[in-house]
Amino acid sequence: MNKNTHSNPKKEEFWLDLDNAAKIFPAVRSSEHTTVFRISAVLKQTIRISSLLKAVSELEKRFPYFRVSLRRGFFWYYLESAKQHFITEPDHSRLCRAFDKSERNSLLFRVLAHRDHISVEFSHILTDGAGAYYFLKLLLINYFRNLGIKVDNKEDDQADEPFRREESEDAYNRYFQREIPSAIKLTKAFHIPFTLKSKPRFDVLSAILPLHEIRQKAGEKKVSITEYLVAVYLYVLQEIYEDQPQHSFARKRKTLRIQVPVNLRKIYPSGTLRNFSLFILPEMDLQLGHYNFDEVIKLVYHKMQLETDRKLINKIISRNVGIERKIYVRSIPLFLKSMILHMKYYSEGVDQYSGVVTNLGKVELPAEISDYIDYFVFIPPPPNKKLKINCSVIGFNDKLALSFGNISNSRKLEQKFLRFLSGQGIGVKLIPNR
Amino acid sequence: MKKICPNCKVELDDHMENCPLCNYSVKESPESDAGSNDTVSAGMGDDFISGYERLSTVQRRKLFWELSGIILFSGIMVTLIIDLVTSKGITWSKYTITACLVLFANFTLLTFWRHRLFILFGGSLMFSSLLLLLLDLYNLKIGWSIKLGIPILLSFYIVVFVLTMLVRSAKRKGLNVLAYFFMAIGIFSLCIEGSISEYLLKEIRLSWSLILLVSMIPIAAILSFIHYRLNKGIELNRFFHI
Repeated sequence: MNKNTHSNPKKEEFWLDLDNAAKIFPAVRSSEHTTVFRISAVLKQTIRISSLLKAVSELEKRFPYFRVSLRRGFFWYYLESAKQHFITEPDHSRLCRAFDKSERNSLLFRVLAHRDHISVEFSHILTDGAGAYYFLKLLLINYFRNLGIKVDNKEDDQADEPFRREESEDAYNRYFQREIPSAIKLTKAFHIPFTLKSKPRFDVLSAILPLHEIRQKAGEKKVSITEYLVAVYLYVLQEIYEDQPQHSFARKRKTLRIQVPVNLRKIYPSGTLRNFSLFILPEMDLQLGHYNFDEVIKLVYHKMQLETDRKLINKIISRNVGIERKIYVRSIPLFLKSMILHMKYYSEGVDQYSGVVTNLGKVELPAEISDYIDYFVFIPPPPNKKLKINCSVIGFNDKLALSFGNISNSRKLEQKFLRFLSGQGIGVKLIPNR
Repeated sequence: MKKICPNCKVELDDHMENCPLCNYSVKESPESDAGSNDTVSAGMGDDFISGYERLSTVQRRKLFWELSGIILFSGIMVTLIIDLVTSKGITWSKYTITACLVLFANFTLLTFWRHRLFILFGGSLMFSSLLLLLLDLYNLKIGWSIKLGIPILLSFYIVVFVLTMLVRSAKRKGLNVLAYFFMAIGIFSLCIEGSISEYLLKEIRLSWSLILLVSMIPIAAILSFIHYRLNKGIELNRFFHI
């Protein structure tokens, strides 16, 4: 599994290994825990459907490594070129719904259209937020070109080939270094004790915040927007923890820890459009007492600065890739491997953190089309049963969209979070998801 | 005025009759009245479609049933008249008349109850058994039909019924259908030999049919393996990559 060169997306028929991060998802995905996320561009005008359909079909040659379906091998899952063309669907169904497992040619992403919302939903098996965002960006450029707007996209227009081979690589393997000690195992973290909703569980609450206001607030504390929002999340989790009865089971775990995905393309040079992100885990230990917001900010800031160090990231890559390279792991048949991965995911992985905050960053589009788009929304994949709630963020112009995915019966976390922000003088406006 | 799909709320081109996303006919939509003249003119090409192509599948099936009825009843009348003229009575024509009537009964079942497998198979078995019984009866005594013909017919219908159910329930059809078919041949041959030996020797003795069945098992197994594990176009290095 240390090589990903047995694939050639230029050929009509090709296949790819799953990248290191994607390997877990087929084992843990279900109709509820779909591992599918969504990015939507909300236009200022109604979508002209013929232009969108043309734009989608134009992207087939540009993204051959997304025209794949998931197949079961004897030892590993793999991606195989599919006959199914890129299609656009009406956006009437559930958000981030699962992709069909039984259909041989079914793709792992979909383009959706409704009124003024152009959305893409990707399975995490295929790519991460950065890959999906790049796809949506080119889709929007093509769409507006088809509407007759002249758009400069220097990066793609000047390329000799429709895509760079590097885009389909497993960059984790490229940057794997042997003989680096593995990361230390973490203590179990607090989980919010809310009850689960009945199926279908996944629900999303999205809000728009003025970007300049939140930037100003983060600036006052001398932290980034991500660090500021992670601190708010931890602070709110602390409130929920303290709301629990003194001797309740929920209070047994006293560590609050947030999983914050980091786009590794910013640390390691790679043009891959498959998964290439890792997590850092800012935390606070409630055994040490109550933290005020400034203390939380300080903790988060230093932890984030420390853990985005390249050497420490190397250590996590080394642990993750090192495991999949071990011969005894490789030789386990897939059905057993999937069972083990499923158990490990719930018994170890999910136990380590209390929440997820994903910031996709600020969307940068060619100036010619920016005026036609109102804002972007990034909806996280449905959280697992232990986590229950997760959060994602995306910015565009002066609008920062905050989305909470929730499978529980309570909106307490979102209420506390948004009230905290409005208490800081930041305007919060709830928005529909489509 | 813009033409908007009332379901997806997206803007359609003027020439579009249906929303390409949800297939909603915009002619039905009051919001798209402004575009309705265009959509009517876009559908003028329909006039060139022949009458047959305009029929629905059910109508086409009914047409075939009517045609087969006309042909079979014409055949009955023609053979009956020839028999009456040449033999001064009903002699050989009773065979063709019976066969045509049973054939028509089967066509009727296929036309109207093709999705109701129990009615289709049960009815067809009943009519075909009746055919064998009548053919036997025309020789003035009932002999082979009950002891040999109907048991073989019954086993044939059971095997075909099970085969149909299996094929229908298969999510993906390919070499697995061939595997089912080979197994069905093996099992049916077992039934044939069993019925013949019971009829002739008064005991069930199996020989050639067992060999046939045993030979079919590995063929069906290989076909199933190829179908379910090594699908069309798959390469072993993909499947077994480690």
